[in-house]
Amino acid sequence: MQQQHKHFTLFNPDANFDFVGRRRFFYALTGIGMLVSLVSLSTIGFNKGIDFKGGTKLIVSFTNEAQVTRVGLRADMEKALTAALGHEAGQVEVQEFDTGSGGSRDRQHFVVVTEVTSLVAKKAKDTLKKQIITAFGPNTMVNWAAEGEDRADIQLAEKKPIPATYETLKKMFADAGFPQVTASSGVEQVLDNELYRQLEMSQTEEKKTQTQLATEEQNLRAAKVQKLQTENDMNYTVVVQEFRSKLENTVREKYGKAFIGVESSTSVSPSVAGDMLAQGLVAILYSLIGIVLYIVLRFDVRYAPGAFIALAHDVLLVIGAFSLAQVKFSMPVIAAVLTVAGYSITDTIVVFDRIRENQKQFPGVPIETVINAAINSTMSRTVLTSLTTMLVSGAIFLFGGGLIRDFAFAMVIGVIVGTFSSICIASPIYLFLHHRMEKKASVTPSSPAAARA
Amino acid sequence: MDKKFNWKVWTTVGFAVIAILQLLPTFVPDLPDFYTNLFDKQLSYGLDLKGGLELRYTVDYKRAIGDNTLRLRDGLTERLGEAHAKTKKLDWATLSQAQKDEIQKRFDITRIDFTTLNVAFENKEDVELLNGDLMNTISGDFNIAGAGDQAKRVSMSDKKVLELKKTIIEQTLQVIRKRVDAFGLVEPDVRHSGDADVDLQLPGLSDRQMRMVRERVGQAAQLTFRMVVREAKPFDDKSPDLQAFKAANAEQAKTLALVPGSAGAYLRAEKKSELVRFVRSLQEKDPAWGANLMIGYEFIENKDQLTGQVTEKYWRTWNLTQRAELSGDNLARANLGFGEKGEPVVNLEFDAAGGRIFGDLTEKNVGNLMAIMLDEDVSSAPVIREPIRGGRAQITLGKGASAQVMQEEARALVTVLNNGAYKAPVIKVHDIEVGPSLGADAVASGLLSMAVGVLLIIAFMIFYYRQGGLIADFALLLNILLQLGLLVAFNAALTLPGMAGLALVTAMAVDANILIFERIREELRLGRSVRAAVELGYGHAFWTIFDSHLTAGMAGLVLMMYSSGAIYGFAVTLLIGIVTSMFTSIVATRVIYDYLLDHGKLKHLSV
Repeated sequence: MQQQHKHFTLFNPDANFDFVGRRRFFYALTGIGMLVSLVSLSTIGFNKGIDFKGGTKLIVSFTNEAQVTRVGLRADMEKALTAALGHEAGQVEVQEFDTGSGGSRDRQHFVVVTEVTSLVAKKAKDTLKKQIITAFGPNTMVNWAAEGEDRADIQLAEKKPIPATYETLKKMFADAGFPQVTASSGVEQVLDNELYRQLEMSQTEEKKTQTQLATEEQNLRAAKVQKLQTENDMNYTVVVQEFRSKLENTVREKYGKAFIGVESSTSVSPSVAGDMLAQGLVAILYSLIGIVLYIVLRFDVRYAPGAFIALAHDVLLVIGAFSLAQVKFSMPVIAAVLTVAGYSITDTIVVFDRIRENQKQFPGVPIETVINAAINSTMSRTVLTSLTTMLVSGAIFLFGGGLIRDFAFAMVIGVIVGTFSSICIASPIYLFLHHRMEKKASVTPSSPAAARA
Repeated sequence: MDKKFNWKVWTTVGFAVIAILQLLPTFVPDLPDFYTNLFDKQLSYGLDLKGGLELRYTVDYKRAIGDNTLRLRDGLTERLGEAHAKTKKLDWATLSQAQKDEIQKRFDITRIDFTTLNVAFENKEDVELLNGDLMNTISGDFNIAGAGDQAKRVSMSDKKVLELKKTIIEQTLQVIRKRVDAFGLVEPDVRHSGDADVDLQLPGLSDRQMRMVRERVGQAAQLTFRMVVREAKPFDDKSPDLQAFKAANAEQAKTLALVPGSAGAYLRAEKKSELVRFVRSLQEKDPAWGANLMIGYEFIENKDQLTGQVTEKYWRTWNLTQRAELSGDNLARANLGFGEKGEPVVNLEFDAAGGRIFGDLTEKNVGNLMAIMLDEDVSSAPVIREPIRGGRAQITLGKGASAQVMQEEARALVTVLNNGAYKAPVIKVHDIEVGPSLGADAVASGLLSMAVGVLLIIAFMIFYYRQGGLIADFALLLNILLQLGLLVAFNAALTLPGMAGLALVTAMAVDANILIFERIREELRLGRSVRAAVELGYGHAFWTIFDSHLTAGMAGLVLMMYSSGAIYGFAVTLLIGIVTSMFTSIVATRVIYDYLLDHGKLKHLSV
C-alpha cells in the first residue's frame, strides 16, 4: 500500500528528532537572543523613522544626467535649513532611494529626512504675536496653529478694510524674515469656496478644456480681488510658506533643469509622533493578549504561557533586529510585526493541536514522546510553509523598492524566529507547565493521570 | 454526488462568478449600461499608488472638556458663595462685590485634571454646602466625592466624558468634511480614525489645491446669523429663465424647480450644484439682480414622524440679507435643553456685545425668520417670536415632529452652533503627499514583486506535491480572485503594503493546503484507502486551520484599528485574505478531490 503513493519529501516521515530533550539548549539560545535584543533596545535604541519621531521626509528626483551626490545634496540642504531658521539646524539625512524593480529608470531619487517640520520658531511666533497686537490694538486675538504648521489666525476687535490689512500683515511678516506668506480673510474664504466650486463644476459637468479652465480661473480670481477691494473683515489668517517649498526652491536654484521635483513629501508632528510609537507597541501587546486568551479558551491554560512567550520572543527579536541593524523603525514595521505574530501563532497552533490529538489518541504515553512526535510529524509542514512565506517576503525585499523594503526585512526575520519559537519554545514550556500541574494534581490520588506521572 | 458535494460546488462556482462580475468593470473599459448599472465599482488604488494628499489631525478633546470644567469652576464659586450667604441670612443679590469676594475667599477651587475640580474649604462648617442639590442647580454631569474633612472633589462622570468626547470629535469631523466639500474635490474621504483622529484622503490634487486644503482644513467654518428677506422676491418672476435654463442644461438641471413660498418663491433641487449654477446664470445675465441679497442654501431632510426614516431630501434656496448681523465670535455657547413641556430646545448664550446686537435684531424682526449659517449653508431658520434681551435665546424646533426627531434636530443644531469656533484645538499629525509618477513606480514594483512571489509558490507547489500542488495552485488563484473581488465589493483601496499583504496571505494560504496534504500523506502511510485518507486529512486539519486563521485575524483586526492610510489598506487586505483563504483551501480544493474520487479517477493519490 505504502509503495503506491510516491511522494517527494524533504523530511524523513519517520524522523524522530528529540526536540524536547534539547530544550535547555533552546532555552539558552532563546535567552541569548532576547537578551541581545533587550540590550540593543536599551542601549542603541531604535533608529526611529519620522513616523515615530516627527519631522519631514522628501523624496526628490533628478534626471540621470544630473551630477548629484548624496553628500553634496546633504550639504545644500543643511545650508538652506540654517539660512531659513537662522540657527544651526539638526542634521539632515540624505539617502539614495530605489523605486523597486518595476520603477522607471529615467530618473534618480534621493530621500531627504530632517527633524524640522516648520520654519517659524516658537520665539519668532511670540514676537510676531506681540507685534500684531501692538499694531491692531489690545483686543486683537492671535492664535498660532499647533506645531507643524506655520499658521496664525488673527481676530481683530473690529472690521478693517481687507487690502490694507493684508499689506500691514505681510509687511510685518516680511520684516520678521518671512517674505513668502499668504494672507486671507474670512470673507475671502467664503469667496474662495465659491470660486473652487465653480471651477470644479466647469471641469466635471461642463467638460471645459484646460485652457478654458485657466482663463475662467483667471477671470474669477480677478473678480474676487476686485470684490475684496471694498470689503471689511475682522478675521484674518496668515500662512508662512511651507517648509517643504523652501527646500524645493533651494534645490531648484542649485540644480536647475536637472531637478525634476519633489515626488513625495511626508511631515509628521513631533508632539504626536512619540505617542504613535507607544500606541503601536500597545497595539502589538493587545493582539498578543487577545491571541493568548483565545488559546486558553480553545486549548487550556497550560498552553497559553508557551504561546505567549513564543510570540513575545518573536516580537522582541524582530524589533531587536531593527535596533541592532539600525534600520529605520516605522509604521510599516509595526504592521510587519503584527503579521509575524499572526504567522508565528499559526505554527504554534499546528503543533499544539497535534499534541492534544496525540494525547487523546495515545493515553499513557510519556508526554515527552507525545510532544516530540507532534513536532516531528508537523515538521515538514512547518518548514514548507516557512519556505513559501519566505519566497514571497524575499521577492518583496528584492523587487519591492524602498517604500516596503523595511516591511519585507521585518517579515524575513519574523519568519525565521517565528518558526524557531513555535517548535523550540512554545512546546517545551507547555511540557514544563504540564509537569508542574501534574505534580500538584498528584497530591490528590484520585486522578488517574497523576498516578501515571 | 451527494448533497454535501453539491453545496460546495455551488458556493465555489458562485463566489468565483460574483468575483469576476465585480472585477470586470475594472479591467474591461466599455461595458454595456445594463451591466454597469449592476456592477459599477472599480478596484481603486490607495493614495500611495495613485498620488494625492493624506492629512491626519488629532482632536484635542481633553482641552475642550477641560475648558468646560473651568467654566464649572466659575459657576461653582458663585453658587457656593450664594449658599454661604443664605446660611448667614444674607441676600446674595444685594451684596457688594467686596462682600462677595470676602465670602468667596472661603472656598479655593482648583482644577486637578481635565475632568476634576478640587474644592478646599477654609472652614469645616462650609463643607456640607457642597452637596448634590447644589450641584444639580449647575450641572447634573458631575459627581461629588469626599477628599479629607476639609475638601471635596467634583468630577465629571465617565459616561459624560465619553459622550462629550464623541460630540466634540463628531463636530470636528463635520467641520472638516464641510470644508473639504466646499472645494468640490473629487471623492475626498474624511473619516474618524484611531482614538480621536480625523483622517483625510484626497486623491489627484493640483499643487494649488493642496496648498488651499492645507491652509483651510484646520480652520473653523464661519458661523453667521442673517435675516431672511421677505420683501425682495428675486425668484418670483424667474419662471421663464428657469425654463430656458433647463432647456439649455437638461442634464445639469434635472431636478431644479421653482416653488412658491411665503417669503417669495424659492428654488429646490436634488443637488446643490444645480441651484448654484442657476443662481450664477441669473447673476451673469443681470448683475443688478439680487445685488443686495445673499442666496443661502439649505439641505432639507424630511423624516417620517413615526419611523424616523428619511422620506424626502433636497436642497433649497433662501433669500438673505447680505450683511451678517451677528457672527459666531459673539456666541459664547450653545447647548441642548428642554422647554416647559419637556420638548427639546436649543439654548444660545451670547457674549455682552452679541447680546446687545441680538436684542436689537430680534426687536426689529419679530415674526421673521433668522438663518443660522455655516459659510453659505443655512443650518436652520427659526422664527423670531419676541424680542430677546439679556444675551440668552432659546430656539424651539419644528412643531408636530415626534420627540425623537426633534431631539435629533436639536442636537444637530447644537453641533453646528458650536462649530463656528472649534471647541477643541485640532493638531495636524501628519501630512503625506505622493506624486503621481512615484505612485506609478510603486504600482509597477508592487505588481512585479507580487507576481514573482506568487509564481515561485505556484512552481514550488507543483514541484513538491505534483497533482495535489496543481489543486492547491487552483485554490491559490481562486483565492487571489476572491480577494480582489471582495476589495472591490467593500470599496477598499489597494495600497502598496496591501499588495505585499495580498502576496503574503497567498503564501500563508497555501499553508492550509500544505497542512491538509501532509495530513493526507500521513494517513496514506498508515495504510488507509485514498478516500479515507482524503476524508481524514481534511477532517483533522479543519480545526487547526480554523484556529490559526482566527488568531492571525485577531492581529489583523488590531492593526486595522491602530492604523490609517496605506497600512490600513494592508490590514484590510490581510483580513479579507484570511477569510477567503479559509474558504478556498478547505472548500474549493475539496470539490476537486470529491469530483476525482466520485468519478473513480483517483486510484493513486499524488500529494
